[in-house]
Amino acid sequence: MSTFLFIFLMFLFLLNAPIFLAIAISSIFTLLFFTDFPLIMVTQRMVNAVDSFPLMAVPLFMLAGALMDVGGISKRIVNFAEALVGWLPGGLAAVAVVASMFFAGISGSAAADTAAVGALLIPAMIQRGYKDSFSAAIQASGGSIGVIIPPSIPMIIYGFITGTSISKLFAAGILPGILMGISLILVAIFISIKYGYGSAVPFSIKNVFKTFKEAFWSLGAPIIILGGILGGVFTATEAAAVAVIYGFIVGKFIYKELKFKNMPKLLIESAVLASIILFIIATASIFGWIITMENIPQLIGTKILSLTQNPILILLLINLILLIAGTFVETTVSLILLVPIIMPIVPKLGIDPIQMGVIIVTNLAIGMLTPPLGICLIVSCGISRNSIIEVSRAILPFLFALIIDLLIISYWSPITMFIPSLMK
Amino acid sequence: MVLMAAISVIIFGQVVCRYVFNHSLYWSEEVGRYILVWITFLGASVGVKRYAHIGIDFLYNKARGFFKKIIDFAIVILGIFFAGIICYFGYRFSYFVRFQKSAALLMPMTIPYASICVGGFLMLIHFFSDLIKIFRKKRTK
Repeated sequence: MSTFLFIFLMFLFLLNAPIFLAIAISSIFTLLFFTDFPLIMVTQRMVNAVDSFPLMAVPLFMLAGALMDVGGISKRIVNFAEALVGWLPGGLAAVAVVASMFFAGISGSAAADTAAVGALLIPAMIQRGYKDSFSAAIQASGGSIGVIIPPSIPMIIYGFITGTSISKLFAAGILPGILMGISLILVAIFISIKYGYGSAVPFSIKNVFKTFKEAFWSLGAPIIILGGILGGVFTATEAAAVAVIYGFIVGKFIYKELKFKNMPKLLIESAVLASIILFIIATASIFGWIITMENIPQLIGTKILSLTQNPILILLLINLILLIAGTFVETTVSLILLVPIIMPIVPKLGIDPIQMGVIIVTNLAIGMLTPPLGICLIVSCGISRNSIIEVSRAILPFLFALIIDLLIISYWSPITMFIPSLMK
Repeated sequence: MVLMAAISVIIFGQVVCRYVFNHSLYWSEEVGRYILVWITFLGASVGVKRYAHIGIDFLYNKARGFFKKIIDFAIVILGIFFAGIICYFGYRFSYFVRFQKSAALLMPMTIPYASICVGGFLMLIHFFSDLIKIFRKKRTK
């Protein structure tokens, strides 16, 4: 029965069926052919899956990101980042990473991060004589940090599946995000020195203050979101709603770049984008129900444990599986399909579920940079008008740096667990 | 479609307002959750119309002509089957729970569960229009 389920699912995936449809149809057929559960259960499962308070953060953070982009916040963040690190060799590349990190503190999605910052910086880099494939590659890698630095939609989904605290997951992502940012900048500087890309602007402390003042309200958003969550003032969902209101007020009344005319479009776009993820979660709940009935997660868990008992090797194996999955399968889907399988093994590894969450999300973030389904790669290539193949080659050094970061995150727990351990 | 767009706007507006005007009302979480359910099923049907749902297309992009058309056709038929199922059973289920009341607001549970029926129905319409497009050879993307 489960063999049928998996083969049918793969078959539908390969036919380019929308993912929700592939998951739903294979699950429904399995229920029809192999069990006598009434199909009415399907509808009940689907509604119950999305009838959830934590998941509400998904559309809200998407809306917040869109609002801040249209409201002129991303532009000011880029200016501030330029004053901050633009003087480095390959200055604009460093700016791209730093601006992506700030923007990651507002938006929960790596694709949104890449698109918002890349739309400004990729053309600027090409204009200054940076190679176009290099520009696209650094922006894609910088954007992928968007899901590590809180808020993060994949972390919300992970917390939702496993019942771990989303606030603590967010807290755990801060240091790894900074680590990834720094290592990307180092690689970018190294490459820039080699190709002779100069600095963007000379460093001046006056300029830093000036752009900081302009970007003050923009930078307030990540501070409110993070501060509120870390300080226990509000939950992730409430933080998302606060971010929406904050973004609206800053865009509308302080920067005055947000028009009421644009509002309906923004609202609909974020609602539809979010519903695509939520609908996959809804249909996947039928799938999850079947595989739990069949005890598949436990079976696979025992299988892996029978291969090796060594926690280091198991963790390496999990990382490999996740990297491969992240390459071929979309992030939400990998989370929903793989997390229930991985979780039963986690206690045996002596790893905190929160650290595991960061490890999983980091893996999937790296998957966003690899063809054929790397969403950051695709967005970046769209802006720089390069072919995916060219940029994939330029992205290799950054990929290498991120994989080293991943190993650090996997095997050195303080980097994830230090900040959450301060909470409560 | 305009109607659907309007509903999404109102829903989102409501979620937002709730936080502006009150933070700790006992019913707000429940309303928010049910609104989320509606967003999911309505938004998903809009997604079908816009071909916004993600698929894995690296094999599909290699297919040509007649073969591609058969794949499109098969997917749409499965889509119609799925939308039909959730629409029909969504209706049966919302009817089934009509006397159950929600925990905080005591509203009938039919309200959240009806979303799956409505969303399924709209999805059915969009899949049918896809079917017609395939036969008229006009399907883009």
